[in-house]
Amino acid sequence: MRDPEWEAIEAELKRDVPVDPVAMRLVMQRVREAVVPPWPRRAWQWMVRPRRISVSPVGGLLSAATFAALILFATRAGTDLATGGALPADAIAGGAAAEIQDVQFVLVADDASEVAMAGDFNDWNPGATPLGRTGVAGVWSVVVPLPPGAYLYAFVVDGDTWVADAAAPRAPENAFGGPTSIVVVGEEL
Amino acid sequence: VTQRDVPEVIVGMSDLSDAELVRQVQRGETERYAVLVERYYDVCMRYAFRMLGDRQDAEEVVQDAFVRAHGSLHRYQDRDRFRGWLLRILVNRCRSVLRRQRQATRLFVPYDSAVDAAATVEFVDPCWSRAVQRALQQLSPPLREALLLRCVEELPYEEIARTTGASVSAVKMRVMRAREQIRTLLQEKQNA
Repeated sequence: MRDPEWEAIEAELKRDVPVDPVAMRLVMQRVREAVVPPWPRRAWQWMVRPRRISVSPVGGLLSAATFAALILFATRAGTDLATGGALPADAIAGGAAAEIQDVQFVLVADDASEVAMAGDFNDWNPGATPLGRTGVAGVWSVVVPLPPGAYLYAFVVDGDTWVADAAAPRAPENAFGGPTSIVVVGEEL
Repeated sequence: VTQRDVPEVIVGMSDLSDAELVRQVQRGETERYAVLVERYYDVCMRYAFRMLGDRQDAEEVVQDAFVRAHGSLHRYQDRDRFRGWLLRILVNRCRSVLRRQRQATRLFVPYDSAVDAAATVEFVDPCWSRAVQRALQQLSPPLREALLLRCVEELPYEEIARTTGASVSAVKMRVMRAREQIRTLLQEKQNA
């Protein structure tokens, strides 16, 4: 049996309520914020999140001392590594003591106005190791500290003339095509 | 009639069933949840507004219910209907708000221009609309809850019983009493 009175009430109760579209979109915004990100992103967020740390004076001093010790250790390790990097591969493989020796190179060039050296020890850069005049006329000299190893080298006179060392054995071949000498530093070599 | 911007994700998704959408969201496709929000926001707003009597309170509760439902989606099972499951969460959220407000009845129905305007657009007398809402607010929350779930949301008595925690016979009795009371209240209003 129909009940018009109740049907009218029910129709009113079923009538939609106006919806604010902004409020509806806010739901998805809140949902996105609530979604837990995967663990790598969570870990990264944890790492980069700024936080305030309280440290006692003693704790601060200990931290500073530890930090300084680490820096010192890293610097020394870096220096050792750099020195070792300059060693010839055969010297390192032979286990030779990395004892640097001063090696004097001498060239007699009466008419030269400038003399320099290029070799394995300075990456064949003539400008890096210039020779100086000695007290004897026409005699040029330089002392180069070298770790044990075998080095190819040549003199460069007046910037463009490559000259082998008459006092040293000649190297059989030179990658640069000019006269080249060889010097061996260290007994075991 | 409210003009809505349909989110891009919803286009072409309206044919998918609730269960399929829920599975997609469970697999991590969070944006698919927007389709479910779009589908049931009206239903939830209607229930919450009728239950709480205030549109702002209703919006907060509905948003909260959707966010909580998303957070609990891993507990959702296919045998539940999403709508009923969502309504269960909403019912509990409304109960919490009512407990917090400690208001058994709300005799004063706040003026809401949007609700009145919507009534006018649908050729409904705003005075009638407010009278029904006022009468509804005068019902006790358990009666109002049972009436709305049965007569407005049309849930089966068994599902209402599961949702509200009352027995099926208690739910039937509440619905009957709610109908009688609301009818009486409106007659008194007309006679006055």
